Amino acid sequence: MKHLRFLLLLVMPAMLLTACSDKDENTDGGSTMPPTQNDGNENETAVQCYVINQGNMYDNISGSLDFISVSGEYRSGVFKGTNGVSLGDGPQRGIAYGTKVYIPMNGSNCVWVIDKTSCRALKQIETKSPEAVCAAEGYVFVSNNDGYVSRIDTLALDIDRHIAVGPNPMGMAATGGKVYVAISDGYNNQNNYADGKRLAVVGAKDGLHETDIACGLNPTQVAADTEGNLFVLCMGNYADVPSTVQKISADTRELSTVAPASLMALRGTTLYLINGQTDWATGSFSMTATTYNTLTAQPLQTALFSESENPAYPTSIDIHPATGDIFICSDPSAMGYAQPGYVYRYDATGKLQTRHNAGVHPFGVVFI
Amino acid sequence: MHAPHCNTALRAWLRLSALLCLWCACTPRAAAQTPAEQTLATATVTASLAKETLTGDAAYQKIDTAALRRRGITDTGDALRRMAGINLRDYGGAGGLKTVSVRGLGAAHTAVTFDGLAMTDARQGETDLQAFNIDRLASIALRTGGAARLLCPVRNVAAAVVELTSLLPDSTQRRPAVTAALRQGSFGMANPSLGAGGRVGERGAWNVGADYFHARNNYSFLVDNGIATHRERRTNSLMNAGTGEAAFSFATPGGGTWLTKGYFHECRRELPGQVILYTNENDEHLRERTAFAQTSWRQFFASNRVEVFAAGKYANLLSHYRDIDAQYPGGGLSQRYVQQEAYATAGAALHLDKWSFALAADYALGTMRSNLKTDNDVLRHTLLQSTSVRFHTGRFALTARAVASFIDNKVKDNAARAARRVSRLSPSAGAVWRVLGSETTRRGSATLRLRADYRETFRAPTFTESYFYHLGSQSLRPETVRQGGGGFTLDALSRSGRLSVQLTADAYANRTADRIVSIPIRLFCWKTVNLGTVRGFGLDATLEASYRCTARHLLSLATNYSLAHVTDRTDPADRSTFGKQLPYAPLHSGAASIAWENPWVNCVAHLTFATSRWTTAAHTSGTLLPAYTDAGFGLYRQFATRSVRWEARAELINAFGTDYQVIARYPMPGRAYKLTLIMNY
Repeated sequence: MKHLRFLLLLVMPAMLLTACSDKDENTDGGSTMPPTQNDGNENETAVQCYVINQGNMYDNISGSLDFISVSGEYRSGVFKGTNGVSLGDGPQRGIAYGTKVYIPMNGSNCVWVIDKTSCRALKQIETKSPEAVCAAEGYVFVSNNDGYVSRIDTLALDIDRHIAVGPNPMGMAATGGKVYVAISDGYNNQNNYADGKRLAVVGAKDGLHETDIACGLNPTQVAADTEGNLFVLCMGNYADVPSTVQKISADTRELSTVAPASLMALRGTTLYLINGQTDWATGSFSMTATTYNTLTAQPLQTALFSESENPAYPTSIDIHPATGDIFICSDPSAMGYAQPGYVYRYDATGKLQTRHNAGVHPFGVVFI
Repeated sequence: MHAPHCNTALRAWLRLSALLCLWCACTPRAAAQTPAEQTLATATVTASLAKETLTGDAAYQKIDTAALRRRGITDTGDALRRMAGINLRDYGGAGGLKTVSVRGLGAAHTAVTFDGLAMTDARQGETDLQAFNIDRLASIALRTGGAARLLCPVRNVAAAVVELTSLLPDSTQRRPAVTAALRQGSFGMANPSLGAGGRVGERGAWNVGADYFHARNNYSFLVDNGIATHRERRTNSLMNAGTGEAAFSFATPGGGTWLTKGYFHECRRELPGQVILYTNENDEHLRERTAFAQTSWRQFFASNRVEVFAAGKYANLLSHYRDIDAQYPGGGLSQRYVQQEAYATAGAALHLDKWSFALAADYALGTMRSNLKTDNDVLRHTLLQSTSVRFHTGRFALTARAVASFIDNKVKDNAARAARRVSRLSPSAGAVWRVLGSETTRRGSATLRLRADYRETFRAPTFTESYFYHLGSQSLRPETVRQGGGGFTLDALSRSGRLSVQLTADAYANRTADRIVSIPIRLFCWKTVNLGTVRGFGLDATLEASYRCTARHLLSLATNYSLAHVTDRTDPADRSTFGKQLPYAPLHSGAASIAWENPWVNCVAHLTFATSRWTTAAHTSGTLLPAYTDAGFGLYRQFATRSVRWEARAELINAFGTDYQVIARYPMPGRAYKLTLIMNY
C-alpha cells in the first residue's frame, strides 16, 4: 500500500502538469450559415460569397470555408458548422455552377459539392490531387495533378470521363464550348518544365483532348474575356524567369505578353493584375495593381488602389461579375502563411470598403 | 475489425505466461542470485555512473544497460525522452524518424557521437537516432555543453552532444562469448540480433554483431473529424532494416587504447506520411544506408602528464527517397543522395599539477552527389581548431576553451554559386566547485557541487538548406547560439548505506540568432531564410534514488523534469509571434520510473509526459496539440542455466492506450507489447 501511495505521488504532478495546458481559443465547431438572398430568386447585384481558406496542413491547419453575407456579415467555418465535419486539406479555388458550389481539395483528393445557399454537403467526389474546376455545357471539369481532367456530370454528380491532357494541369477556363487547361509540368522543374508551356484544348461536350496551344513557362491560371481571348498567368521558374500574363488572341491564336503579374482576374473585357515583389531576407513586400483592356492589351489604370489601401500580402483576386467589386484574399504578411489572413473588399473603382478577418491563408472567394 | 488485433494481444499474453512459467521453474541457483549478481557484465559501469554525471561543469545524463532495464526503456528514442532537456521529435511507430532538440535549440545543434566520434549528415544536419539498436548500445548519454575530456575531437564541442557508446570489445573475458537476442512486439515487430566477442592475446579484443529489424507499424489511430471521428490504421508503413558491426580494441603499453570499428546499417521503409483527412493514399519509400569505418588512439606518456590522441573516419551515406505518384514525370519522384566524408582529428594535452592545456584540430572533407540538377556535386572543407585550458584543485575546476572554425564550400558546376564561407571563433568556459563533502560520497554524508558554464556555438547551413531546388539559398549565414547556465548536483548516502540519492538541477538561458528556417512561398514551394531570434530560459532537474529494502530487494526511482520557456524574439512589432513559445516546445515535460528488483520477477512502471504544444509560431487557433502522458509497465528477470545467462523482458507500452501525437498528424502507437529474450553464453 505504501508503494502504491508512493507511485501515486510520483504520477500526480505529471497529471496535474498535463492538465494545465495553454488555452486554445479555437472555435472548432464552426458557424452556421446566415440567410442568403437568392434562395430561388436570383439577384445579380447582391454580393455574397464563400471564402476559401486553404489552411496549412504542414502546420496542422485544415482548410475551411467562411461566408460573407449581403449585409457584410462575416461567418467563419460555415462548412464545419453546417456539416459537422472538416472541409479537409488543401482546398483550391472553387466555382458556383447552378445551385451548387464545387471545391477541389488538393490534399484530400476529392471535390466537395455543396448546396449553394445552405452550405450543406451534397457529395464528396474522389479525384486525384485536384487543382482547379471550371464549368461548361452542364459539366464541371476538374484538373487533377496526375495529368487528367475529370468531367463531372452535374445531374448525376459523378465523374463520367477522364481526359488525359498533360502533366500537372492547373487552372482552366471555358469559352466557346471549349475548356482550356493550363499544362504546367510543374513537378518537372529539373527539366525546365519541358512538357508544359501549353494549354490543352478539350471539347466540353465530347470530352476529347483536341489540341494544344503554346504559352509561357509554368502556366497556372487561365481566364477568357467575352470575346474569347485567353489570358494565361505563367509563373516562370521562381528564379530568373519572372511570372507574366500572356494573351492568346481569339482569332489568330497569336501569343503576346501583356505584363508581369503574380495574380490575375478577369471581368468582361477588363483584366486585373497584381504584381508583388517579396524581399525574403527581410520579409518586406511591395506590389502594384493595374487593369488592362483585354481587347487592346493596353493599361486602363496603373494604380488601382491607393498605396495605403494595398492588401498586406495578396493570395488571390476575384471580381464580382455584376457589380465589379474587387475581393482580394491576403495573408497578414509574407511570413504570415500560417496565420489568419484577411479578405479586402474594394468597390469597382478600387476604393477600400472593408477588411474582413479570414481564416489561415485565404485563397479565393466564390460568389453565389 | 478488431478481432485480429485481439488475437494478437491474446497470443502475446500467452507468450508472456509461458515466460513467467519459465521464470518460476528456473534453477534454485538462479533464484538465489541477488539483483546485483544478476546484473550482466555489460552493466558494470553502475558504480561510476553517479560520479560521471555529477562532477562535470555542465549537465550530463547517462543511461547505461542497467538503467535501461530499471527504467523500462524500450528503444533508443524512449531512452532519449527520459532525459531532462531533450525534446524528442517522434514521427511515430517503430523505426519512425526520431530527432532531438535540446533546450529549445534546433536538432542540428545537437552532435551525435558514436564511440567518441561524431556522426555527420551534412545534407540534413541531423541524425535519426532510431537507427541505433538499443541491444547493441552500452550507454546513451546527453551532455549539454562542455565535453567529456579536455582533449577531445573538436566536433564534439557542441551546444549539446548525444553520446552513443556501443558494446566495446572486452579484453578481460577469458573465453569467447556469444549473445543472441530476440525481440517481438505489436504491429508485426520482430528484431533478432546476434553478437560474439573474444580476446586476442593479452591486450587485444574483438566483437561482431548483427541485427535485423522488421515492423509493419500498422497501428490504429484516431482521426478527429467532428461528428465523423473514427479510427483508422496506418498504411504504407512497412520497415526492414539490418545492421552489422565489428570492432577491435587493443590496450597499448603505457595505458593507452586503440579502437577500430566498422559499421553498416541499411533501412528500407515505406513512409506513411501525414494523416490527411479523407484520403490515405501514400506511396512514399525511403532507403537509407550508413556505412563507416573509424579508428581512434589515445595514449599517455610521462607518468600521464602528456596525453595524445588521433582518430580517423570514413563515412558513406546513401539516402534514396521515392514517391510513386502519377503527378511526377515518369510516374514517380526519385531523389538519390550519396554523401562521403573523410575525417581526421588529432591533439595533445599537457597535465600539470593544477593546470592542464590541450590543443586539438579536426579536418573533414564532405562531398555529396545526387541525381538532381541542383543539390549535386557539392563539397565542403571543414577545419576546426580548439585550444583549451583547465585549472583544477581538489575542490574546484575551471575550464576555458576557444574553437576556431573555418568552413569552405565548393560546387563542381562552375556556373553555380557555392554556399558562403564561414569563419568563426567560439569561446566557452565552465566551472565546478565542490562546496560540501568529499570526492567520493561516504555513508551518512552528502556531496554538493555547484557548476556554471557559458558557451558560444553555431551551425552552418546544411547542403539541403544551401542548394536544394527553390528551397536552398547560398547566401545563408550560420545560425549562432549563446548559452549560459548554472546549477548544482547533490549526492547523498544514508548512514546504513541503504538509501542513495542523486539530485541535479540546472537553470539556463540561451539565445539563437539568425535562425535558419524554411518558409512556404506557395503550397509546394518553400524558401530557406535567416529569420529571427529565439530566447530560451529553462530548468532541467533529475532525481535518482535507490533504496535497498533487504539484501534481495531494491527499489529504484529515476525522474526528470524540464521547464523550457523558448520564445520568439525576432520583431517586437510583430505581436503575432513575438514572445510566444516556439512550435513543438512543451513548457513542461518529464519522465519518471520506479523499479522493484527482487529474487522473483523485477517490475518497473514508468511514465513520460509533455504539456500542450503549438504547431504554429503564431499560436493560430486550432493548432494546439494536447498534453499527453504515456505510461508503461515491464517485467524482467535474469537467470542462469549452466553456462548460459538469460534475460527475459515483457513490456507493456502506452499501457492506457492514450491517443497522442508528438508531431501533428503523425499519431503515436496505442497500447503495445514487446517481448525480449536475451541469451549470453
